[in-house]
Amino acid sequence: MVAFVIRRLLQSVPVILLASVAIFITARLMPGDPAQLLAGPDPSPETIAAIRASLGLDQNIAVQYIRWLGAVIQGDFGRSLISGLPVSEIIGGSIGPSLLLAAAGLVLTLVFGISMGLACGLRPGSRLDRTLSFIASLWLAIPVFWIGVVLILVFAVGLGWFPVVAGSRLSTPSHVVVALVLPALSLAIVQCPIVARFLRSSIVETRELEHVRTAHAKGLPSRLITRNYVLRNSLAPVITSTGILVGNLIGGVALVEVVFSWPGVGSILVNSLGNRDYSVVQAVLLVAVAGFLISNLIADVLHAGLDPRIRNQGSR
Amino acid sequence: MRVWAISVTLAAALLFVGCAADSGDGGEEDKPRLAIAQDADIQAFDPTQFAPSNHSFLYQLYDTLIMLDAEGAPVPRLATEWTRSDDNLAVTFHLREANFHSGRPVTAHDVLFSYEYYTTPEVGANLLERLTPVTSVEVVDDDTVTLSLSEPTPGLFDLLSTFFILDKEAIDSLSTTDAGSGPFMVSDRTPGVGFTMQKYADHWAANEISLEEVRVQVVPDSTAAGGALSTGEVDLLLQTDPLTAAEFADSDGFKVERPNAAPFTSYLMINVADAPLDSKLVRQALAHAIDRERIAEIVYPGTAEAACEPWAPGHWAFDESLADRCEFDLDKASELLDEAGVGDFTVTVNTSEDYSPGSVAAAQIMKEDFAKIGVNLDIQTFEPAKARELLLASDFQLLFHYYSEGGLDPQGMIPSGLWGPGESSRSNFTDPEYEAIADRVNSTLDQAERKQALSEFSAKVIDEAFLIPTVYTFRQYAMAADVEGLAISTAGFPILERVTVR
Repeated sequence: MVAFVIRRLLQSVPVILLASVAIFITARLMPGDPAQLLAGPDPSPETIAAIRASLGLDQNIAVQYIRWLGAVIQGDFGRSLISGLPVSEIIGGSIGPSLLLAAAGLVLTLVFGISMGLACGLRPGSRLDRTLSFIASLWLAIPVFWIGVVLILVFAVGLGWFPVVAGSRLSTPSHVVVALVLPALSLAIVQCPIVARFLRSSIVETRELEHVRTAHAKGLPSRLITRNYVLRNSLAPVITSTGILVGNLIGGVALVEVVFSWPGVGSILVNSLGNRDYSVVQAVLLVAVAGFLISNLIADVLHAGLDPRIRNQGSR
Repeated sequence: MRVWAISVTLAAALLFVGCAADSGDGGEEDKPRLAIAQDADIQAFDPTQFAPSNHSFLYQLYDTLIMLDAEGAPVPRLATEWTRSDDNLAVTFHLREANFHSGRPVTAHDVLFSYEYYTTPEVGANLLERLTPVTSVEVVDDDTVTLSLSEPTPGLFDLLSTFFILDKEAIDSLSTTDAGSGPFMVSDRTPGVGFTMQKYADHWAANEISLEEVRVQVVPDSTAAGGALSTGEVDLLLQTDPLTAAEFADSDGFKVERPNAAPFTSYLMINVADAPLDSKLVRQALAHAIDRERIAEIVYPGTAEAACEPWAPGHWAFDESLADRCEFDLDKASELLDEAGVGDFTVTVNTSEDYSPGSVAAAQIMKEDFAKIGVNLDIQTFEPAKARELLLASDFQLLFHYYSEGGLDPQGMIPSGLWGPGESSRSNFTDPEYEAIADRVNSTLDQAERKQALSEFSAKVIDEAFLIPTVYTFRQYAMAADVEGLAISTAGFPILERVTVR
């Protein structure tokens, strides 16, 4: 297993490097630059050039990239071009709330998704299956920010159960939990259909396998067969889908954070994109890529733990 | 079943926590607080940057030498009195006893430092171009400072009302705190979330300030911002779109204030460099084919009125006699095009919904009317940074945008890329007669002479139609009904020191 993890980590290095190039170039390809935005309503070309030089943006793009990468390797993401704050400080202060939101979203997604998947998969073709499948299709089609706005209007503005502005009330653990509910629910509503569909299909397939039929033929109780023979063998696709979910969550969290004013990296990213704050945008995206790779690695490790064929693939 | 049970238990637990959690901070001292929502995070506590997201702190954290009253006359702030030299080329200010938030006294040396900071191009101070008439700043003694001018500079006080004085020893910390001497000081900031300002007890006007704390919360989504106001999480929205304004204007416990100060003037700029837009007759035809009333009514419902000249009603430079020169008249537009001898043609207009709110809808209305006179309007929509890049590079045929300096002294905008005259003009329009009028606007301190010159300036702008004002949009602020005393400066910056919350 250790060799498997090391092999996967080494495979991640070129991916991160390629991602860093793509992120750096994409940021520079965005129209406009921070100098134009900082220069005020009526700047002269000389003023814009002076600001650009002071930000180091007058250098060759390759030189800028090599300097940036060299600093990043040493753990220095530089300073925000707009606020002057160290980027590591900006991300460090906001990554916790983002991870918390993503984790809460993931937990609710799995709880709702597995519940729906079980209900549908164990009674395929039933009215419950058809109803839940319809709801899942509907949720899957709705944009996460729209769900967020509806939840705000109903549960925060209408019923007053939760705060509208999550970021203003994170002073105590109970406030954090309360503020977390609606954003996490928004994420879960659009993500849980993915889990539900994977699990439903897997259960339906597993129930038709020979060893399950044999168990029935032997007269084992249905509950025991479901728990020991069906569910356990149906979970592998759910773990795989969780890796995909984390990727979706990274994008979804950014949108949800904006709608709920959640103090995470997503809000920072959106603000920085508008300001063309290259150093922050690059750092946030690089961290997101790293997070995605790590989450996939964890999913693969879990998968390999369940399936010896996978962990032995590379060693043959 | 077990998973279902967990789900139900979890939902019940969340609901319980939601209902049981504190609805407020009842345990804390009940002091006057104001909570504000704004749609983007500040850049830094840098008062040389006038980005809209910075407006919330400018007058709160920083003091200026003078302010302007409702009539536009200077009133004391850090400077208690001032005298002009006989030739009007120098103004000497006497400073009051005041301290920065760091505890350092404010002295004439800080005024000099501020001037030097603002005029360093790398800083990117938004006042840089407007400070051109100030040739030097001389420290007479700790409490006296003299500004030397290259011309009489009638807009000097207007300029100084946004010239925030900086603490030279705190200038390196603007990313986390302020370097000012204003009525409030920063107590905390979380990037992307917001910041809090506490009343500065040692401020020279502290006795007149009611609020003890101002919390500025970043709420990017306008629906969420409206929701936060309706639930009492915030007391005031710094950005209020027409829908939100309509919602709160008639709601019990809320109100919408629409100050006349500093309206936004939306305009259509025409690049006169290329045919057929180099023809004055063609430009006049387009000007008469714009239904400004309809744009105001449909695009900016309840917040705008049709515009004709550069300054809105209420500004001293507004000339009522010119207001009827911009009538919507498609017959006249057709006649002008016939006279110009151009057939049907296509022009492109640059729009950007985020950079120039309402520009896409306004262009669609124009497209419909332009088609009736044989002009096909090709509407191009750009992302804000690209829209700004094209504007600064004069890379457009027609362009929709707005300016927010309509409340300022006209010297703040003449000369400029907006109005020219000369090579800096983004519309590429220039004309000796126009340049002569523009020179007269800034060469005298006599207000009657200036008003006459500005009337001629406005008439020339309407006649040449290189920049066509379309609507004046007035700022609006939705707030709780118990919030009183919000003031807006001529530059459009909120002033909170007289705000009270019952």
